[in-house]
Amino acid sequence: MRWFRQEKSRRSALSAVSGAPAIDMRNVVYKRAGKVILDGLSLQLDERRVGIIGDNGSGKSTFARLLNGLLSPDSGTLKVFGIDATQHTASLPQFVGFLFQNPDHQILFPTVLEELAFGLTQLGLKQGDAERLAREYLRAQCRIEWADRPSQSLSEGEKQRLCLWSVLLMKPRLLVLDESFASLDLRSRYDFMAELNRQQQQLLMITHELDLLENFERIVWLHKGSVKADGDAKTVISAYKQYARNGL
Amino acid sequence: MISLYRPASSWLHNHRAGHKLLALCFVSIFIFPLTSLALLLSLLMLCASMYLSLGKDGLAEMRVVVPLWPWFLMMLAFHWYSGEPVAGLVAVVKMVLMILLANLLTLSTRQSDLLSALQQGLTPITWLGFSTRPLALSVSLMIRYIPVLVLLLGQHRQAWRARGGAERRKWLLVVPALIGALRLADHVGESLTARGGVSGFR
Repeated sequence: MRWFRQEKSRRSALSAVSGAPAIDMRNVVYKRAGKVILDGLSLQLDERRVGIIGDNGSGKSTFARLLNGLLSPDSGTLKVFGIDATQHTASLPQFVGFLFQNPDHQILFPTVLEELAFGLTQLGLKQGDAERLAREYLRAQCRIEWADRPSQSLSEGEKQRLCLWSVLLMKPRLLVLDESFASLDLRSRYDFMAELNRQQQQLLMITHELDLLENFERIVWLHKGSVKADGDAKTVISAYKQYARNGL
Repeated sequence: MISLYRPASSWLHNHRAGHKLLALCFVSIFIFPLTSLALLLSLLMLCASMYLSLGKDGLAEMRVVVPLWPWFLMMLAFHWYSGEPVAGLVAVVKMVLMILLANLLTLSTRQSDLLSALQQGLTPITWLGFSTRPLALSVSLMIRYIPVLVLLLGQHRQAWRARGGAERRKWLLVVPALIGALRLADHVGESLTARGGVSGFR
């Protein structure tokens, strides 16, 4: 009961900022070892599905990491659902779920059930209740037999799915995927994408798989830490493909 | 060095994590002052029978001590050189026994149960105003990642051999293994931060 009360209070905190856009960044600069990675980035993103594309080293992963508090900007303002990301870094993961490129870098616990339950205990639920909810979730996904499986015994696609479920159980409002498809085969990629499309959350996806972004509402092309193009999927992807073939 | 949790429903798995952790503490305290080789060997046999009770797979888990033979040999050699060969045997048997008992705990206890037990065991520090969760989570993650680090070292060894690296120059792997371990620690830290850090959103 205590958890549900806390959850209710967390939700009411969410509703207090519900009018704000998902991401509102102005003149954000991020430097690493003196090198400018994000160079005065200004973006307002509120579409349900946003894709981020660009070359390696263009600042995509840094951008994603700013959104759930893994990194903090050196200057500029960044608000996520109206929350000042520079002031409340630690509370961002409540609203922004993050899926890493390599599931082995994300999975912390040796069994599927423990991994799923961990996020719920982070929200204040007791271990027993968290495990009960995690079992219910697995049952709803028709994967109850996974509960006691060692997470290392899962295939890459299954591991990535476990990571997604672990994040979804924490009910974030925005889901950020940082090249989470990189290790998946084609079949798993499409299955995973179909599962993502069924979710209610807003989705921000960084990927080199341009065909997965075709139906996205908005695509942002980052180049050397700045926005090179920003608009609908067809226009931006086609411009990026042309650049990839012929250069700027 | 020690094993990851092996899901099963043995008598050992069914015991509460806190009881097993306490038993390990008491047995360690009991074993520490022992000097009788006969008694230690009996305890080792008892420990082996506990592994046997977990079945064939359980017995195979006793292999965790095999990679440590150079250390055991060094200990024996040192004691033999000091004129105390029996003391050397006592020290080696004690070490083997402790590793096997700790291994029994981790292979029969889920990490989350261990985490809860540690949190409960550390309750006295809350009286001083400290939170138990970060410490318990750190210990639990440390146990979880020891076998992962061993695996990482194995991968470095394979890469070394695949490029014709000489066995006797294996020590050169220390630096890449250390960098690999630091990278792993970075990833674990990021994953934890992405889900609310060591304290969560309580």
